[in-house]
Amino acid sequence: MKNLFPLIKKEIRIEIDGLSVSRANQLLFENLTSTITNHDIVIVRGDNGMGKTSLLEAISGLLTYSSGEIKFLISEHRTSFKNLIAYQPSSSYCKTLLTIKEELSFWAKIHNNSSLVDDVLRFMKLQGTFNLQTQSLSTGQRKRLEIAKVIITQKPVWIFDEPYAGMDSNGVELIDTVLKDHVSRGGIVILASHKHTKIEKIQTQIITMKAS
Amino acid sequence: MILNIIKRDIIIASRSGSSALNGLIFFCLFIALASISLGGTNEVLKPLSPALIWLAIVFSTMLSYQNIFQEDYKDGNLSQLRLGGVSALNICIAKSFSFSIQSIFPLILSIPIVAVFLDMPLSEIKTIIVTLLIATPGLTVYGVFSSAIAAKIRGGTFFIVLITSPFLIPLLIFGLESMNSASDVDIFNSELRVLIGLSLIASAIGLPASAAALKTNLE
Amino acid sequence: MISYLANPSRYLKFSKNFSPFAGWITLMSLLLALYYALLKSPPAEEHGQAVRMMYTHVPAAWCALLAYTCLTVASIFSFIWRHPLADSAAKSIATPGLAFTFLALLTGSLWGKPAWGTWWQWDGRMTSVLILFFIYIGYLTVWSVIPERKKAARLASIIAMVGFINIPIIKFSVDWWNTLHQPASISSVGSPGLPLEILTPLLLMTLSYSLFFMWLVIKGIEKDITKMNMQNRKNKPLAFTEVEDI
Repeated sequence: MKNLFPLIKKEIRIEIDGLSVSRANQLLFENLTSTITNHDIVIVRGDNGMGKTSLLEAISGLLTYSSGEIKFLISEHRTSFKNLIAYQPSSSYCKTLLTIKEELSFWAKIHNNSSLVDDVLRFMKLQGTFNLQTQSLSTGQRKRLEIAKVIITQKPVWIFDEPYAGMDSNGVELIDTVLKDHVSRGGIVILASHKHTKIEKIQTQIITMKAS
Repeated sequence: MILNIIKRDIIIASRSGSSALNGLIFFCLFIALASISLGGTNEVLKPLSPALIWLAIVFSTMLSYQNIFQEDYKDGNLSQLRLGGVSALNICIAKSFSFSIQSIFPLILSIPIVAVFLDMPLSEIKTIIVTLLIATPGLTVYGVFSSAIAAKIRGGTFFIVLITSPFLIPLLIFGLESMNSASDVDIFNSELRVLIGLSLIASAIGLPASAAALKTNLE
Repeated sequence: MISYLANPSRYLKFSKNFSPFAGWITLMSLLLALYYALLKSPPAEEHGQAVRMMYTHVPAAWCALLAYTCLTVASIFSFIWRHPLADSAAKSIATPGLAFTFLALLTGSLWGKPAWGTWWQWDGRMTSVLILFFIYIGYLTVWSVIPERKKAARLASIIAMVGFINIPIIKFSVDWWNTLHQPASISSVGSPGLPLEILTPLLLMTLSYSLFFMWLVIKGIEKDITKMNMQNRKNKPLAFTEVEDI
């Protein structure tokens, strides 16, 4: 079977410089500086309410920050976050009345990768249930659909908010393998997590957020 | 891209069935309550029936404006569309079409049935459907606009009614006047032409404004 | 001048010096206008003493429109250049704008009773002003329901601009509708050919209303900036971050 993970040959870099983020007039953190590049696994740690999600959203380009800068570079050329980022928020964004296949096909069309739908379904072991509406999925199945939707974007930077929440050991293993495979082909993974998993062995950067 | 979003919205709406049905029930209830409170005699109701139907449709669409963006905003679909490179303007155009199809067309289609309760003549039914179809872009776009602004506001229905009502007044005035001066020979009277103009202006202003508002809310 | 004042702290300095001056000018002009309006000008032939209501009504309606025009200009600045001072200005213009619109409605209604024998008439002008009132309320509601200031400012500016394009359309529709349904036109005093003794207090009143509006806006912006500065000073980060490369 062909490898479904995008092979990233170009150099990709995210440069975060003096980043300050606030939400609803409340400053969350300031002066975060970091550089993230190919093969990196960045784990964001911290208690709830410290602004982990806001940080991930800011890196994803979905939240405007109050000061500082985030630069997205492909082979040293500035680019838009839209060309790099696949973001999976902590809650699933499936439309509950659509079937697995409809949901995945829709996002495949948005990202112009319709040819991959069947392969990704097979790879995530969802081919038997593709006609099920997403509201009737188990937690594990839903998580696999989420990962399938991230793979189908074929973007180099994957950002996950709490991917391990509610997962049993098999699920955790599955997520770890997928993330490892992506990184081994030149991808970047940024995730916020409470759980300690095997991914820690290969992590390259930790961002800790503590109450001040 | 736009077509995919419309198709998906229609599939979801047809499976849940609630949005169109809610609007329809509201429409019928409004007409029933109005007829009862006006005494229910044909002499009173007949001259008022076009205005009642227009009001009922304007109010029931106003009540469904909230749904245009709020759910997609809350569950993160709008952010994902942005990451997928779909521009805010395209999202607004797609939503305009899916809103007209889901929420306004069912109401217009049900006019012949409601008209029976008001004893409307066939020619009047015909003109009211034509005027409403022409006003549909205006009704839709101001809804998309207000919903884009209120995407983040919980329970924003009152707010939406507040900001859209002034903008809908010209549509209401010219829609009803064009009905008054409509005759069997000349359905395209000058009022109807103004109504077409109003719908076009609404789309020309409303869509870019909605896109700007949506973009602001997605940042 | 505008670019000089665009800096909030420079604006504060300017406002602290200028606003008392503007306030005194306003007060003096208002006293003069009131003297003309209440004592010097004669009661009108058909309206009697009630004509004096016009001296509060017409300037209020004028200021309501002036305020909306200013609001649109401020909103354009705010939308295109995302300037915080333009946000403050827009917000500080809208509140007096709403008040003037309300005053116009109220005095119109009070004037309507002796003039037409009814508190309210669905005539073109009053209907348009009523709709303007709702547009102002809608605009200000945006500010109050959206907590993030920058977002509120941007969304409010979009509404103000859309409203500005729509106001002439609404006015046109309402006038047209009105002529159809109320053929008996109500006599209006604002027509040309007013005698000088009525025109003088009217113009003086309009001038003092506009000055008063200006003073309110200057003070409003000043207050808004101080409030913003206080908020910024209070804003300590919730968390500090540590980046560790492995």
